[in-house]
Amino acid sequence: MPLSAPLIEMRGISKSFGAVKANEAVDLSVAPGEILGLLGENGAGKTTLMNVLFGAYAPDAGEILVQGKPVTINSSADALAAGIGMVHQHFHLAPRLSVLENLLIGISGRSGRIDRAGGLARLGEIGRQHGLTLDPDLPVSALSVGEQQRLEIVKALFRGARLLILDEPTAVLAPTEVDGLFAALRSMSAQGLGIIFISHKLNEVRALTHRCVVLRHGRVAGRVDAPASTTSSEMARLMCGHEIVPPARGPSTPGAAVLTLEGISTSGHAGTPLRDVSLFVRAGEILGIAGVSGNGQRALADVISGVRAADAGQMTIAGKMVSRFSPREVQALGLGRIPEDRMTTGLVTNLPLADSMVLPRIGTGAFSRNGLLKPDAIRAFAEAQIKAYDIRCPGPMTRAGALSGGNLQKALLARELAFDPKVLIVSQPTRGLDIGAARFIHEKFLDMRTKGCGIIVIGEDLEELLMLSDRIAVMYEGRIAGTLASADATVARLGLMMTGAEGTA
Amino acid sequence: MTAASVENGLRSSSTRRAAARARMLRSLLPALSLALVLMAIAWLNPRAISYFGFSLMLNLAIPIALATIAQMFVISGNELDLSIGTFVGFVGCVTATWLKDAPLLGVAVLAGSIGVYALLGALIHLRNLPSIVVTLGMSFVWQGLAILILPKPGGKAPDWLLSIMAFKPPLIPFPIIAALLIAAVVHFGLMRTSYGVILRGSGGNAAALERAGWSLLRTKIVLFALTGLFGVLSGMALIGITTSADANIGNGYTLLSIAGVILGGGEFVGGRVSPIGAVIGALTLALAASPLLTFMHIPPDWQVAANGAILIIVLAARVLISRRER
Repeated sequence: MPLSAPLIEMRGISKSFGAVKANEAVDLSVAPGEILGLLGENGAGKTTLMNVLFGAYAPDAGEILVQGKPVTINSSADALAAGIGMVHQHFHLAPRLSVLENLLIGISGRSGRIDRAGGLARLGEIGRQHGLTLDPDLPVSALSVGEQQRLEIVKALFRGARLLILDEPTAVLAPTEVDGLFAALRSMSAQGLGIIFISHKLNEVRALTHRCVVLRHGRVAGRVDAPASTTSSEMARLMCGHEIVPPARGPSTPGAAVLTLEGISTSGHAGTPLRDVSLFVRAGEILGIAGVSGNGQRALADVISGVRAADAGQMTIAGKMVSRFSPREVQALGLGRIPEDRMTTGLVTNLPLADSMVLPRIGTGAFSRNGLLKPDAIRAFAEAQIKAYDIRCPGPMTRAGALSGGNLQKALLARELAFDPKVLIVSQPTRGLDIGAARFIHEKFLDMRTKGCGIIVIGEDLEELLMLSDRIAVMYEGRIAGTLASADATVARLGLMMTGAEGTA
Repeated sequence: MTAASVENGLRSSSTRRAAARARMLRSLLPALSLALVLMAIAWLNPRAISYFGFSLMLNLAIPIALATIAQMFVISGNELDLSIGTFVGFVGCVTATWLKDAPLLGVAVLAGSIGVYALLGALIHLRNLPSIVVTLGMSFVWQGLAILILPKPGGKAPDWLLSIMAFKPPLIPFPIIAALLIAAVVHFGLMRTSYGVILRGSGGNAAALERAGWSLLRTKIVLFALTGLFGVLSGMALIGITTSADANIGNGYTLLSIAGVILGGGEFVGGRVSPIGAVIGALTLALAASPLLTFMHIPPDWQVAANGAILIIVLAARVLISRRER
């Protein structure tokens, strides 16, 4: 446990952007061997603070001390020299270069030559110490997301980092990969490295960190000295400034089935194909689909939303047989979809938000007449949705790409819900969103359930699935391994089924 | 919560103003660069600013504007057409020969060439080929065909085409009216119709568009066919002005058209294009190309290089402004 003098100390850090105070008099310190959790809602100032520490922004006031000595950090090169390494949410790797070449970038070899032997030795050493093994000759483009993250961590260690900053490292990982990451972080901490861990997931913060700093509106809203024995709701209250009550899932009487799949199988696409999948969702019911990602969830969502045709099997929406599997057909039958990757398959980011929000129905009478747009109708629709869903943006004509993740997700949700879908399929609905935004999305789903919509939620966050779902189906290797009523489901039981260990009909 | 909304309100109102300013600058920049070139011409040679002067200086602006619009359509779909120049030359040769001597054959060949463009769009989409490679290859095909049709410079434009291009309306010179007309029609089609939004969206985020239920094959075919159509119009307009053809007559148009789109505020990727801007960009290039440089007494040998320098200056200014918009 940390006892010695702080490895790094930030004193009275303030940073403003125009009228917005992103950080105000923030104090923070990390001792050797300490894992510090940094918590806060989106926009609370966590990233700004870390960017100050990593040299991307100069603070307006305050100082940074490394091992008791004041330092000026004006660039990431300064930060690296001071022993600070950062693993960004979006990786900074050269995809065409090999693992080893990525490590050696920025390290001048002897007389301009690459020190391959030395690099290999260091890589092997780091791998043995922390269980971070990587094939040095694979190109980065061949690595999984988890391996790329491992490479980013190794890269920081390679350059001699004594303090490692990780910005939402688990957002991109599958649950099994998270365990590996945590083991490596604990091993680094045991060897005296300091770690700053940023995450929205309070259970992870409680499991991993020794101490937490909570930011709200740029200021330190609280410090938690024993995260493991502090409840998630206490931490959530510090983050939001008020109690977060999980929305209550009232009883509902499911109606007739609005979506059925019978013996659906797929082939000939990337990822795990579906094998003989049968399931149904009734009106006024939420069906959770649990599973480690890569077990056919993508194919399932693609088939249901008509992007991919099934080789065998039948699907009905609202009692009507789906014959051609096109997005337009299933949409006309009453299906709404919120894809997992909102930036690349959700909204069209170059178009104004308003146009993007009506895109699936832009040709209908509501928004155009004889092929001509009705700009007023589109604008009015977008403005109403912006208000109803509290989408924070300069206005309906802003480019959709300029919105933050949470607001993009709200805009997509608004787009799909505005037309009263009979069935809604959503993947990872709250990934990367803070508690407040996630709560809002959950409430909307429960509202839709009350209104008689059948909802399928595909996710990896079991607690979220347990809170929302009436029934939970588990996918394993392209099959439905079993379905549980949520009253019978526990995290432990679902976890077993997700690894294929248990099956129930 | 209230503090958060106040803070958010502050931030959004100031960023909104900054973004609106940058957006306005961005949309004004094409007009600004045109005004600059015009002012330079007026200063160097005041007599050029007249009905006759404009008719003369902007003579070649119509085919350049049409070729730029053609290029703009493929750019809206994140593609590039490196064959538009030789295609304009090919159309020119067809116009100066078959369209005059055997109008039915001429019309069929021109319509067929638009069909070829549509097929190229389909091919590029279905086989997932880079358009740069496909159109670079096609540029040699068009050039070869043009030489086959018209081995040495000659031919003659059809009389009706000559009389259209020689039209002298009162007060406002014909090229200006034509430019306004082209800009208005294309702006209306691409920016004000529902399918226009789909076409632009296909360059912005193809996957999202497909998920929303639109066919990407169709958008690609439509965009390429429109490029072919405006390429045909450009070649015909060019021959209407020069009266006779040459297989190499359009070669410079490939780069001029790309520069015109970018000068007019378009971007290579992301479906951000502006028809009005593209036409203004084409006019600017047409003026900067030779009249301005001639008035500056720059010897013809150096004009191409000077032209390139002007282009770099204007494009650099644009990049500075769009960076501020972020």
